[in-house]
Amino acid sequence: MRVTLVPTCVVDTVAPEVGVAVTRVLRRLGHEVSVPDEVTCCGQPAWNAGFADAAAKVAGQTLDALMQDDPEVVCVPAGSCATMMRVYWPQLFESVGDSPSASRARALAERVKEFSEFLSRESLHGGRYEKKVAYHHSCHMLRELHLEKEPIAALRSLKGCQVANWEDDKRCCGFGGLFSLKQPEISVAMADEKLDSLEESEAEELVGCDASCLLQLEGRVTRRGMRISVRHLAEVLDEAYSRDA
Amino acid sequence: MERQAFLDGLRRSLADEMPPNAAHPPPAVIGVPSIAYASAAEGDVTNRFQEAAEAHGSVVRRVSRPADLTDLIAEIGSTYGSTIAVLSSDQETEGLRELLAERGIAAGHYLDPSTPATLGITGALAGIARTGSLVVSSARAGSRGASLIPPVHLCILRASAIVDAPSDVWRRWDVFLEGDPSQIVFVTGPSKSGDIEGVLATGVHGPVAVWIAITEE
Amino acid sequence: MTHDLLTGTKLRTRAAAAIDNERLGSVLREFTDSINARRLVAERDIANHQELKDAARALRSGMISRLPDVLSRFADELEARGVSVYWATDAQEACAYVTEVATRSNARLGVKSKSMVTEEIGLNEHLQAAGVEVVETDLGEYIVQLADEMPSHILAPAIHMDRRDIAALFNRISGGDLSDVPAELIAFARGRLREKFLQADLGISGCNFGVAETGTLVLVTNEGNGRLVTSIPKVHVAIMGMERLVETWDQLDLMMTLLTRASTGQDISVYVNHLAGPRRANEVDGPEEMHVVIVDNGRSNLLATEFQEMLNCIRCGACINVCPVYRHIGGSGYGWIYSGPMGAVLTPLLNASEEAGELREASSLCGACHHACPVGIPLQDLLLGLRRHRAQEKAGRSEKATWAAWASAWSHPSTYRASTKTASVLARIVPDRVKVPRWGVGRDAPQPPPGPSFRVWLKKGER
Repeated sequence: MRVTLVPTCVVDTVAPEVGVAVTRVLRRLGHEVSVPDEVTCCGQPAWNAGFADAAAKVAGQTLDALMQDDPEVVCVPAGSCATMMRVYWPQLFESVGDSPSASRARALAERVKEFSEFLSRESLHGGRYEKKVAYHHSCHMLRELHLEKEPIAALRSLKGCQVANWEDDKRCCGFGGLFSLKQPEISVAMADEKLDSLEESEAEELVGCDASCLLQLEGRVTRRGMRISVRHLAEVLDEAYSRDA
Repeated sequence: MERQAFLDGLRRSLADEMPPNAAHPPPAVIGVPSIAYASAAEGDVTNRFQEAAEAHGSVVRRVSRPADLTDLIAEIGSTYGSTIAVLSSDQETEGLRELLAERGIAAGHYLDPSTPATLGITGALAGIARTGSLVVSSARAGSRGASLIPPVHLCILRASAIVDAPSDVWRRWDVFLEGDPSQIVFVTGPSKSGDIEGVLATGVHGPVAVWIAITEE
Repeated sequence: MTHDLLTGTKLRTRAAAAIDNERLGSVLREFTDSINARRLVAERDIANHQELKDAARALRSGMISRLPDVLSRFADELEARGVSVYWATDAQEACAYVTEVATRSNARLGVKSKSMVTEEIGLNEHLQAAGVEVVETDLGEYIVQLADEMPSHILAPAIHMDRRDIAALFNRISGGDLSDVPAELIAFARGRLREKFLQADLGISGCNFGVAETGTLVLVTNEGNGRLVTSIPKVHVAIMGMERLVETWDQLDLMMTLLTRASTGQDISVYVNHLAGPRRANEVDGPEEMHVVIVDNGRSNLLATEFQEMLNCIRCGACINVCPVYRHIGGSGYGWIYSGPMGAVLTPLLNASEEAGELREASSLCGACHHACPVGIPLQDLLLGLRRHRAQEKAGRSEKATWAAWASAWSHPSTYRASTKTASVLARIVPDRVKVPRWGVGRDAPQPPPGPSFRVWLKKGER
């Protein structure tokens, strides 16, 4: 099918490799990937800071772009962005008095799928990834979208891939958007708690479905000089499938 | 502030409509559901009561004859080093004073909180099997302090008064408010606190020990 | 100690101090993890737990929407049973009334069981100023009162102190020689406080729930001090936040089932004390006089706003125990009596100061609180609401202008692409320390790989 992909602003700014990997994986599964030019950002940065008008302006642009594309499915490679679109867009538009957009957002919601959620409806074959990985459950994905087993299933579908037992896998990484800048000490303490037990898990790689969480964790991993790679689930699958080719 | 002004102020505030939360809307629920427990209530209710009461730190004994009761009270005395006992007015303590006198154990009526008594003996309106709780009514007991002031509390509980769950008391409140008590307390084991280093310790302000004598009645 | 909000301090500073205190941090994390684990076990024992939480959310909200009528019924029932009811709009009125009651009964000593609302209104200080000594009897509150410190958790106020600290404290006041064995410390406190209970003229308690149907107060405790406070002194005054009501006993059953499990992981507290009035003619003890002070103190400002659901809170502490921020900064990080997510929401709603408002930032919006809350309060949404209010009422022109510029740029594809390209280039060429200074507190900046942006790659048609 034709999959409409929302890259997310993190991918568009500092993580193009995630967008590339998602596209390659979707194509390998036989889908056509469409990224409308007019899609920008879901508006979450401003929404989280309390600036609803600014958020609605940007979200409105993306909503219109998606409606124009008349998508069968909207794939979002980030739990927090998928949550913004599915859970918060109706409230966002209502709060600025734009009921028509709120209605359209409600209608679109059921077509919005986070990346691993989309994969859970697919038959995943092949791929080799001989690594022990630790999976970070990002907060929105876990608690708002209720996606917990989907990413794990995708990892386990790869030959040789072991998912480590990680005591603090479900704790918040400390990113929280601007929180990471406004309260850096708390943000870093939160990351450290996760990374301390990550070392104990003996995982070689840290994998997640939210590039923003991964930015936070990778930033701290690097500063601490930890020998562990940090990747998005899409990058793992992309590499795993490329070994088959 | 005067009551009317206070309440009118609230009515004015509530006159506006509350903005809805479209992200996490409240569920539409009618009525109060029953409590469904994951563990089925299997077996005799008296046995279940004993198990739960013991799990919460109470000592439980079955008592079939009056002599068993006085034996138990003597045992409590030797466990804690003394027996100065006071009795509540619950029907379960009727005749106990005389029985204890025959054993040479002096027991008066609970009268005031400065009592030097080491043991307070009461009955109970009910027992709750799931939690091992005692339901003590100040109307029946004639006081609040008999089950509270002395460091050891002995409760004489009729097996027929044991119900399954807290719902059976809370949802049948009209029954339990009989006698117009000023206070009804559910007691589940000795007093506890985790305030020092989060470590659970017993015997804080309330009784340090709760003994329960279940009679066959 | 006064429980006034810590003013003149910033969240970052308080947080950094707490984070630097390694022992405090590990105590907080151990305590909250252990109590949270017990909550999960206890909640699994209820087969229809989610159904109960949904019902509780609906019933609490429904009750609040009917609050004037429910309060009216409650007060009628109380008065019919010989209880005096006082309606306090604010802290000043509440404290003045209690002081008047104390003065009228010539009270010199008051004993108090745990009540967050009494800390909120500063009751102890008020009574003390009027010559009434007030002794906290909840073990943790007793300890922090003696130590003159802020409580660090609503359930375990002294958790930040260890046994050695407490032994030293007790030895200081008694001139004694206690070891630091908890059982010995508890026996000491028991003895000291038993004297106070017996001497006290006035007993002050809070109230977990008021049952409107029959005018009954319900107090949930484990130590027994709540029972002693309400049984021995001649006068009992209960202070109650006006929202702490249930309409019927059925609702009480539901709320109690949820409360003790969410709070401490217990199926039931050691004591559930149901108070129906002053002593009866056939009872040899109990207070001769009983008063209930119903407190507003800013709660009515939440009615019919997006924050009304905060009035559903039953003060269980479950949110505090799952909060990833609380576990690093503790009660002192929040600077007032309410901490964790419920503190971050309630404090700004009851206090207009800058310091209070700043607590809306003490969250990464992870949603763990909403998930744990037994009455389903969407605390993260309330925090977002607080941020929206601040953006509208208090944000400076330059901040508003920055967001407006961002919105302009990012609502147009061409400027979006241009700015994301710029950001990406900057990320590659500007040195770490300069990039985003606050990011650099503890983290290296992201290093995007060389090459085209994702959109350009896509257009190029590469595979």
